[in-house]
Amino acid sequence: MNLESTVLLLFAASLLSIVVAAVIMIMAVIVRVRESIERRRLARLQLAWEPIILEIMATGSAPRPLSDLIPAKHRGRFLAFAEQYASRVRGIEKTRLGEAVAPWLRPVVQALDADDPVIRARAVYTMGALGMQVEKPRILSALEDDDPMVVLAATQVLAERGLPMHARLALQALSRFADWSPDFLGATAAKTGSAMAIDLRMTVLDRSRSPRLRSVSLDALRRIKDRDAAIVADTLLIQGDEHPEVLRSALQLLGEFKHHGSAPSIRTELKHSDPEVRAAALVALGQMGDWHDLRLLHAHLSDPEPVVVLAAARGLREMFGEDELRRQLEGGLLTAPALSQVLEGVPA
Amino acid sequence: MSPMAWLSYFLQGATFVAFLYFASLLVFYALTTTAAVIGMRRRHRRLGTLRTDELLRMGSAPAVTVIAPAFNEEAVCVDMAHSLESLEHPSYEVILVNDGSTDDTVERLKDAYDMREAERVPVTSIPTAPVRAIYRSRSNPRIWLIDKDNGGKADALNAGVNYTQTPLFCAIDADTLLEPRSLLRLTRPFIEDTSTVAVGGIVRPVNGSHIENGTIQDVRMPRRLLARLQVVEYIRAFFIGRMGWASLGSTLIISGALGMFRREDVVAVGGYLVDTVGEDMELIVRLHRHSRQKGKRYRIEFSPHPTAWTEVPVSVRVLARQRDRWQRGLIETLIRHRGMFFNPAYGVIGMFGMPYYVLLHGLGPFIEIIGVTAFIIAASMGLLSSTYALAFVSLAFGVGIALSAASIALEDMNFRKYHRGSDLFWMFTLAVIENIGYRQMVSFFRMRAIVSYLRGKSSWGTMNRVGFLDSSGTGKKAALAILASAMMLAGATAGSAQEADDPRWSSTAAYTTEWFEGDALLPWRTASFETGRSFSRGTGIVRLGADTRYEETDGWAQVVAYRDLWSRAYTRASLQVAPGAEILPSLDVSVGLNQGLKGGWEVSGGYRMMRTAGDAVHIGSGSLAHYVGPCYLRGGASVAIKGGTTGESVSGLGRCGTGEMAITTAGAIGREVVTLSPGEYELRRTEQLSIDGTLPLGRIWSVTAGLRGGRFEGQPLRGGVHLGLGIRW
Repeated sequence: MNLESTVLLLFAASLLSIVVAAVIMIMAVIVRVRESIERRRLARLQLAWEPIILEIMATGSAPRPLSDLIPAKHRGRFLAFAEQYASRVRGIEKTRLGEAVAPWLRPVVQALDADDPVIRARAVYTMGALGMQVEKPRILSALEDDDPMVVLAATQVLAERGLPMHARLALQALSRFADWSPDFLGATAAKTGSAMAIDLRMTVLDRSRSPRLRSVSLDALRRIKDRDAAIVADTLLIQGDEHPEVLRSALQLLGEFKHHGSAPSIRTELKHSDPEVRAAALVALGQMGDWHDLRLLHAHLSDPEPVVVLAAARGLREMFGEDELRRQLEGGLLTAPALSQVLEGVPA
Repeated sequence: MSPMAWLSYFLQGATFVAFLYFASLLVFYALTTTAAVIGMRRRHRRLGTLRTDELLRMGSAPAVTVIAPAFNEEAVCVDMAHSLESLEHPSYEVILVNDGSTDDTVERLKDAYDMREAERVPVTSIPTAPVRAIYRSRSNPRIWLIDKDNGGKADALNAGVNYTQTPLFCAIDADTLLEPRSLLRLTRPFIEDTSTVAVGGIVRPVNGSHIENGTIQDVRMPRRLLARLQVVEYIRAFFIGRMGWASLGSTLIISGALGMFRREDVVAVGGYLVDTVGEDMELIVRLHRHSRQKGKRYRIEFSPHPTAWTEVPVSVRVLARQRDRWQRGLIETLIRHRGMFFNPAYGVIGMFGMPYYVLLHGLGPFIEIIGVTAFIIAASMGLLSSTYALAFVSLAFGVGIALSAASIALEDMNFRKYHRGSDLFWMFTLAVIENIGYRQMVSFFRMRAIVSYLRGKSSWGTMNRVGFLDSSGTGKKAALAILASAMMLAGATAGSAQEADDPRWSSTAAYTTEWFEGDALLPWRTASFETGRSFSRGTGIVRLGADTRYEETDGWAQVVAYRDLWSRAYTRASLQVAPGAEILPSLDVSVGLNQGLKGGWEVSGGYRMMRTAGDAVHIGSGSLAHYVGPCYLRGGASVAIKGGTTGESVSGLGRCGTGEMAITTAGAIGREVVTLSPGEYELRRTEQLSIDGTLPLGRIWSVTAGLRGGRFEGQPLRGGVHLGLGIRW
């Protein structure tokens, strides 16, 4: 290639890049203007739609047929607005809203088969809020979706319904999220409420399940305050479950429920090789508030593992309460750096 | 081979390397921009779809400790702490680490938060400078203050890590304000994948925004041009650079201003490295290396949603220091982990990420500056087609503008932090003008940092905080600096040696063109570059240049030295060589002595010898000068002897100004040795006059512009311009 051709090419490329830049700039401005107009228009529409939705939730019908009130071009936006209300209510209000918009849900149902997982997940949420009654099998089948996002959406939707059958399926789906934070999964599972308690207990006792799922199940039981789960947790300690993750969750549950009958088993765990398990046991003993354990807790204030020391301090705080522990510290009856650290209020 | 041939080869080689570099740059940018657009869209849609925030707020998010190291941050530390009070997260605490500040950082925090001395158990024992005391706020017990001896930012972070009890910690800078949701959004990748080791977020300039109690009430563009330019620069760096590389699975940098880490992983690699100024990048590279070596599944992520707002430099001087530190940190890290370079054991990081940073960030500044200079010199000397050079530069500008425009559009469509229409207009305008000066200036700072690194510099430098308010008084300087850089890029400069009072380096690029009346002869051109260093007792300067006259070009090199001798006396000596020269003396040596007298007078005398193609020329000179207020006036006479003939001339010089800002007028009349054609030197009557003005642009840059006129006996009148750009560091 000679010099003239190269120069021509370079100029052409620079011109192209400047044109591209100009097009991008113009597009950004157009998008901004359009979104601004759309936002204002939507705000006006929502102002008009709000009384209609409230009327539907209260009486089961709109003042006039919905198809007269909402032009076809705005129905997608109306569904999204109705979904916001439906996701905040339960029972008859949710059902009424779903029934009112049912004729318009066809595009959403079709979206359940979309190639894009984001569209499928959004459709699952919309159907869960507005069309669960009619399209339940489709949402259940979303639990088998290849994309974890769609599965999670379906799990959340089903868990929120609180029906035992749904809950069981949702729990099974959770086992696909082995990499997710156990706390988060526990909170998700807990959204099923007490309907799922029996399944959760069975999962905990089923050693063929993964330690992560059993731990998550214990966490969910603790969150839904299933008192009977304490017996299950105690059983685990007695049987000597070998998974630290499961043991920690069990100890956390027993401590929070103040299950005094488990105290001997919990004390045994103070000898566990995993410092996190020892720490969980110390906090649990403190929560139970048995004064016989005071010496044990105090002794662990000098444990070589800082995490155990802090747990012992937290245990003592649980046992004494904030005010009493502060008095003990001020009176010099107890001395350890960790103790003043764990006081939630103003330091002495 | 003649020196000119060598110079020609060098310039052609440099322009070729610059071309290759630019081509690689285009490939990398195309790759990262595409990846960034796809990655941004995926993440944004995912975040908008999955309903996890509610669950996280309900207590399923892991606890986090925010660690904020502070060294002499009295202006911003309280605002920063206020911003940390309003974070949306169910379980977090804050550890402020005072790294041996010499100002009132500790006192301000203690007063603002009613801090009382408290005890806290360290969970790990990464070695750090001694901790003096630990305080806890009575008004907000989740806020702790660790007061320790100075040990550097990394040391302060390590101290914070030692006292962190939560599974995650978030490292921020003391001049950083976090958005309320940032902590929760940084936590999210750790929830979605327990193998996540670190997550970085976006950093944006806070200058100009309206802030109340540490919370940004209204995001606005900064008022200062330099800060505005950084808005666009940050958007481009994060939305194209970081986002693109994150989408390619090669996050190598998580900003020290906002990053969340899994504590046990950071402790496992020994915490932050203390003996580097780039501890943030170094930690990330080490985490990659450690995880790969252990065969561990891990993720280091970048999330475009969590946002930290930081005060950016509003003066060129502070910006120069900041970029110097960043560049040295990068170079240190790349050299320290050079084993990962093109090493397939490190996957995408080793094969693409590291080479990208080595080529485009490590060597890039050198190639850019040398390439641009080579382009200018080669084009001015006729070694390179000026049309080609112009086409190349316009392509560089076009791509730069397109890239910035794309990143701004990406930001605006996904986040729209700047709501006003005028902000968008400004950002697009800045996307254009940043290419003319600002980028070259930053490249220069980065190149200088590489030199600093090679010289063993390891200090942090200081950043003078003004608090979270936009300070005034430096915008014009920045604009002028940009103008100066633009002139450098356009190839129009000139200058003189800067005899600095304080020890420092200086460089000047200069260019002079003189045209003859009626285009009787081809224009004379001189391009030169010099670097000087002033010492406590003298100055040394090295100059390189090329002169074109009568269709001949001679390259030359010159060394000049000034040295104080005794009271008010100094000597000067210079040696210039131009082997094989046709229009210049092949050797030009001079020595002189200046002696100051009482009453502001000064006398000087000197000798100069020039070896030409024919006889040698010997010149003796003397002058008398007087200082009057800010002005300096000098008159002198000289005698030149060439082959038995003599010529006499008189000269005068007047200079008025303060510091580096000055106007200088010089004139000479008489018989001097002149070049009439290649190889032909004669004593001829000459008349010459020049006027130059030098304007400092901040403490670093200065620009010189001047006019010239003159005539040799037997030649037409000639006149020209002289332009220069100087820089001191």
